[in-house]
Amino acid sequence: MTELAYGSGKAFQRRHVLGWSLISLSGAVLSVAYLATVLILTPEQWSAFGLAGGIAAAGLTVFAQALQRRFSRPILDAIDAIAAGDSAPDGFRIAFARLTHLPYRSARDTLIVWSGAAIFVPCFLAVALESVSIFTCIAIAMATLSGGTIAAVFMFFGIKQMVAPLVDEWAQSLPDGSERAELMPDVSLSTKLAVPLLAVSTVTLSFALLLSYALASRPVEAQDVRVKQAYLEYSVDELAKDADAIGRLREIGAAFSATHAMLIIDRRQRAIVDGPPDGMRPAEIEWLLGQTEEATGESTGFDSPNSFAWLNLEADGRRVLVAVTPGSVFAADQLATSMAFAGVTFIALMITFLTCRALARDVSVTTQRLIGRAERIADGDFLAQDVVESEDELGVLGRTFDRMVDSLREMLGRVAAAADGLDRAVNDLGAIGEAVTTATDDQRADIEQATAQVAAVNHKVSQITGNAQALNANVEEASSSILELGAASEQLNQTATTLSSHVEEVGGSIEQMIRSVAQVGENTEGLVAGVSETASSMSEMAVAMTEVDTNATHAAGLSSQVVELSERGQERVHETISGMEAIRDTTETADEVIGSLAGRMAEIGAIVDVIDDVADETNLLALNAAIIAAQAGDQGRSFSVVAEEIKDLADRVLSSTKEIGELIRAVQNETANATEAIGRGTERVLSGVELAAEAGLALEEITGAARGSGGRIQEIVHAVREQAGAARHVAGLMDHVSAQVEDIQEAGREQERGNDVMVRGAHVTRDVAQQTQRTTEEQSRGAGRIRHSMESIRDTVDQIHAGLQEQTHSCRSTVSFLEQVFERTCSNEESSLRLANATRALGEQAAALRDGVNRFRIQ
Amino acid sequence: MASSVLTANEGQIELACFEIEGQVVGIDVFQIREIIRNQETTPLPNAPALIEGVIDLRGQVIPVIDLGRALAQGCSKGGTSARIAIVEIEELIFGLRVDAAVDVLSVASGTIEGPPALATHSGYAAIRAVVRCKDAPPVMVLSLDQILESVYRSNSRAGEEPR
Repeated sequence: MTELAYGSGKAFQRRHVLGWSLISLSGAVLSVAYLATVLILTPEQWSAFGLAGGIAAAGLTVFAQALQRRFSRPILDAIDAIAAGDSAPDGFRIAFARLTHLPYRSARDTLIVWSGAAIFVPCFLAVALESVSIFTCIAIAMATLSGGTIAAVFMFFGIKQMVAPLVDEWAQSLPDGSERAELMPDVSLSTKLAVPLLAVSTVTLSFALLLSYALASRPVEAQDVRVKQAYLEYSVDELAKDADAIGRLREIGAAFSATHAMLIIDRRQRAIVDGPPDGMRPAEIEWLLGQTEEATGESTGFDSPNSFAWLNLEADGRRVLVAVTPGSVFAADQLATSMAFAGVTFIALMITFLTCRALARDVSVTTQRLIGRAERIADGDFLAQDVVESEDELGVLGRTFDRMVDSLREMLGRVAAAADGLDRAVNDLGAIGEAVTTATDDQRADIEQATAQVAAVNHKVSQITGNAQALNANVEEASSSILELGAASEQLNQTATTLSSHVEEVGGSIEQMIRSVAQVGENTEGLVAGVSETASSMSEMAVAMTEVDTNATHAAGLSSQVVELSERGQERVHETISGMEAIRDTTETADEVIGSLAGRMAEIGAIVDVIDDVADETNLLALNAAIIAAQAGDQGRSFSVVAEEIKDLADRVLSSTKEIGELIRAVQNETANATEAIGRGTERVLSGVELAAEAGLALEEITGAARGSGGRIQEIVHAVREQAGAARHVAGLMDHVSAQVEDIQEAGREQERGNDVMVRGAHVTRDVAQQTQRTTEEQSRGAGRIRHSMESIRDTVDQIHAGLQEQTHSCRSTVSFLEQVFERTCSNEESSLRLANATRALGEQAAALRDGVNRFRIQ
Repeated sequence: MASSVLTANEGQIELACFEIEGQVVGIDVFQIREIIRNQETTPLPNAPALIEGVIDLRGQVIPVIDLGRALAQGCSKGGTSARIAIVEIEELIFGLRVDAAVDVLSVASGTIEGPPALATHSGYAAIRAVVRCKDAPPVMVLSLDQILESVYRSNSRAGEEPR
């Protein structure tokens, strides 16, 4: 609290007493002015009235001040405590409640005090003076009540204006709106507007009616004229001739209060024959002469607007006898009437003007502050902490504003936090997407390389297969040759036993055998060449296998990296979705708050309708008053100005209520815009959730594909390793083949040597038949060994063939696996692209959201 | 001729002005008792067609005439601004329904003229005078006697549409 509205309790008290006294004094002056307009009082009556008024004012003021002092004690204590530096003293809430009730309390006390005066003063006058009539008493009571009512109205507005800065200052110390509402009086705007307007209008109109009644048709005066008439008729015989009798009758009449003055007027000469009595003003006499000259016949005494009675003394009506109360005729004086109406008009105008000004000020100050607040909120400034307080619906509206600002601030804070999280998630997602793309590219390159290598392997394998087939054909050929050799050996063996007879045959057979052996040697050399080619192919193949193994292992590592990255991406996507859902929840809260605001606006609209009704009623009243004034003729002319003013006032109220209605409609439009904007925000959030879910789906696909390709690659590695094992096995078998081939060669060479011996022996056939038989047996054994070896080779070659078939199959499946992996990689690439697109869209949404949030200043 | 009808002592005449179908008509204030808000009327069987019905005004039953129909200008529009003017001529009290009560106008006798001759020659003149206004169309001063006459002449509700 930098600056205090009131430095001390005493200053506040002085200001309060001063305001009270000034407004009471104005009310008193107003009452006296009214009274002077309506009544013509004698100096004696005036002094009695002054005495009674003084006593009433002194006594009732003391009483009222005592009441007020007791009521405002907590306020003064709180002001002193705050001035001493205690920001939240004990009883601060009671003091706040008393402060806000003070204008109502002051207005009520004023009304009580003046009502007391309205009873006391007429009673005092009636007791003290006999000459005071009932009409005078009623007029005094009404004038006092009128003054009191107007003083109460202005007391309310005056005190309210006085306490307004203090109420504002203290309301900032009580931030809880519902607590303030509990402490403050509950007065609706329509009551606040209608009661003062109706009170002032009623007082003005009733007083005007009283005035016109007093001036135009006084029942008291009519009664007076009737008494005068009766008295004149009663005494006409006596005073017809004797002039002295007039004086005597005058005294008697005065004693009976029948008449105060009697005079005889000559109509033709327009002169007073007898009289005039004391106390009659020349203007009165002049007016009396004019009236009797124009009038014909006699006064009836009942409906006469005059205050005198007359009677013809002669048949021709030349002389008339007039009974009159001095001073009373002046009541009908037009000049005086006009002056009175002018005075009433002026006072009534002043009062209505001041009331309307106070009313408009009271409502418009609060409304202006509310509008300022609403404009700041509309500009996005949520930091301004000015509490707008009033005890009527505008106060309720102000408190609703506070609540709305709080919930909007909270909501925007949560939206900003969610936007930050979203931003981070989008950045992470982008990085992950890039890593996935890079990894996928690498993987694809690796797989292409692997495919090329596998194709190379396949080529080699088919080469090997060709070689193996050639080998097989050679072996078959060798085998058949060996079988032939075996058969020839057997035959040789048989023939050898009967050697002598078949020497020529032996020679032919030997030649045939030599040719066969040479052919075996040739075949064996072809086999050696095939075997060495196979062995070299096998070693080349082993090198390729190792390369395939390395690449496949690398691809497997990349696949698991892809899986890991994708899982992290999925986590981020789940965080994003939960952030979006939080945004949607807060948006719904804002929607509800705005809905309650719209409800308040509709209530204010209903109040404005009530005011509209009151103004319409006032308009009708004013029109009727104007007609009555017009019927009163010249006398009512001045009052018609009052009626005109009241009618204008009602028209102005009607146009103001129309403006307020437009204002409310504008606020309702703004509320609808806000609801629409929030709806758009919700749509954006929903599309963000969808995009994030899509990104999650893409990531899941990637994970599945990467896992699948990892499994395939593992299978490839496994197959390659198996194949390598098979190749090694083939190499081993080839070595075995090589050794066996060498055995065959050895056997072939042995046979050749045997053949040489045979050739030599053939020449000495007979001699060496036994030797031939042995050699032949030996040769037969060698052929059996060769056949055995050949069969073993054929088995081995079959095994190689089978191994190669298996390898070819493995190669094909590898190729198909690699193709599958390639497809997966392509789909990974596609998914990465979609992920990148989704991430970019998400990033745009996050940026739009952040822009929206940055428009509001909340921290 | 008309100014002799509208005699005035001070040379000033007070007219209460009403609106019928956008046209402003005036009635001498001395013929008006009061103006009240528009209310629902209770129909009166066998009454002249121009009489819409009766209303209860503080215990007194008062017949109501739609001034728009009586002047052959169409029915009055009703609505929130509609009023009933309670008038009195020759101790006969009845109500006139109007679209709106406008103002009380004080006019000098000099600005009053008789109705156009063409209108009066047709035999029926609901207008007894015309008041010239400075910045507005002229105000027609109504003759309540003639309006009453047309009410008497109008057939009962079962008959034809009144003029």
